[in-house]
Amino acid sequence: MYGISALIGLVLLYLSFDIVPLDERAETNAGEEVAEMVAVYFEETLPAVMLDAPEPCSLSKMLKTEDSSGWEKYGQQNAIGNRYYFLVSGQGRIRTVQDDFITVTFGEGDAECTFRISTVYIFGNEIRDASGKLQLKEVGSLPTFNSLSESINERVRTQVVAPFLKTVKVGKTIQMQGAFALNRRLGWDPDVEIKPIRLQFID
Amino acid sequence: MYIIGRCLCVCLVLLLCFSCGSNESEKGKAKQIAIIVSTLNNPWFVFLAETAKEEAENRGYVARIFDSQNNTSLESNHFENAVALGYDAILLNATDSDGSVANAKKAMEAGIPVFCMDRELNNPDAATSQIVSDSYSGCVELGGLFVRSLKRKGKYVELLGLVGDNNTWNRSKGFHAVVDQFPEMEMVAQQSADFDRNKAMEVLESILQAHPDVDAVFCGNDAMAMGAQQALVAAGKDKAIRVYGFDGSEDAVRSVQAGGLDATVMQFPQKIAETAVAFSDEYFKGKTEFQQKTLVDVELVTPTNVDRYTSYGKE
Repeated sequence: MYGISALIGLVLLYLSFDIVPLDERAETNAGEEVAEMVAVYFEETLPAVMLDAPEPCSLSKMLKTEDSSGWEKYGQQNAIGNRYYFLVSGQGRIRTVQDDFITVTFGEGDAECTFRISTVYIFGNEIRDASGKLQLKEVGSLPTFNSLSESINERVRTQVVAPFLKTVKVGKTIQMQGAFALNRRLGWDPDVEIKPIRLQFID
Repeated sequence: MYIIGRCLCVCLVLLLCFSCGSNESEKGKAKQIAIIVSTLNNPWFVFLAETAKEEAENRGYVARIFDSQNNTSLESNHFENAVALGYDAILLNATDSDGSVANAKKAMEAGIPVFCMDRELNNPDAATSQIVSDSYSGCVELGGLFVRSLKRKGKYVELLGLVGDNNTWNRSKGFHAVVDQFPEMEMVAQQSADFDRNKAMEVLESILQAHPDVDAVFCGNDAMAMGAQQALVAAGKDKAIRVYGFDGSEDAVRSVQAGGLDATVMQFPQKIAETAVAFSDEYFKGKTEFQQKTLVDVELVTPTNVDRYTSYGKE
């Protein structure tokens, strides 16, 4: 009798716990919906908005001044705060190849400028948010919105940067499309890294 | 008959006077906002609640703070009281992403708008709108710094916050979205310390017994980072092991300045609170459609930029 009661008690006690592994809660899948959105983003959305993307040197010149027009005209925000995202497109020459990035010089003469282009740390929301075409309110769920950034960045790391690094060399000329982020309160950051969207050798 | 007629007239006049008076007082009565906060034991939440109260009062509303002491039952009582006392809006910093849903729904069903501050609810219908820090993105950025600082190779410990809070997982997931891409980064322990300083100290002390050779500790909030730092100081390892936090609390910012913590991620509770009050204001003025979730940026604070920040991102 006591044994049966104890057994029932143990079963009830077991059922009262909901045991979930810690990492299971953190897990979300970038499913088919995300993969489809990313494909459309790369194949249709980005090529269209890139037509209006400024050249790196003209944009950086604008963002270094007190005038806020560059931030307002070319910057995009997806949250309340100081972070602005920008698209850039231009042709430049590879100056150095470092462990985490390459440096590329764009423009000529007095209008010349040098940017870092990430080759390792391609994470964050730069590419997702700089177009202004992917909004949380349209995507709906925050985990899906975050998965979009993960999938976009993964695509860049594997399909853009990995083949590029196989033949990268100082002195080569490239056509680059990319995105970067700046904090408006802190202003211009000389170490800002462009996250590449497209890297193509042209010689 | 004449007397009855006179009495009826007097009653009618008095009734009119009372009804006019009550309409006037109803019109002139300031809207009331209840601010229900998960705990007032953590200065971050005290700042969030007090800023919301101050902002509401500046806009001419009456505001009162209710402390849930991290207890959903107590939070439930606060909701019942807020509904019974006729509050016009509730600003909620939830105790639990799942456990607080039923409480918030009580108010929504009673026609009282609920605006969530910082902590999410796992049901979009449980709140009019949710204003949250972009914790995931902040930890993606922190994860990048973490890997760079360790030169892509090392052993580390992760101290998680409350397992029932979405912020815990958003931060962890953002961090791992970066760190897990680097195969030589090895997580030797991942344990919850409930966002609590003392618990973090105890948990790390015991982890260090088994793994004395860790290179860094990632903590889901600053209170745990300060506890971890304390454990490392006691073990004489504070110079060798890097510690990273999240929040931008006063002691964490001071610690980054003094060379203690390696970095924290600044949240902006002032912006969260002000936005929640502004949304209530818009609701009172007739707006009914709100974006389900509004993100508030967070910023990475390191020894190189810490002089540009004050605690809690105060402006």
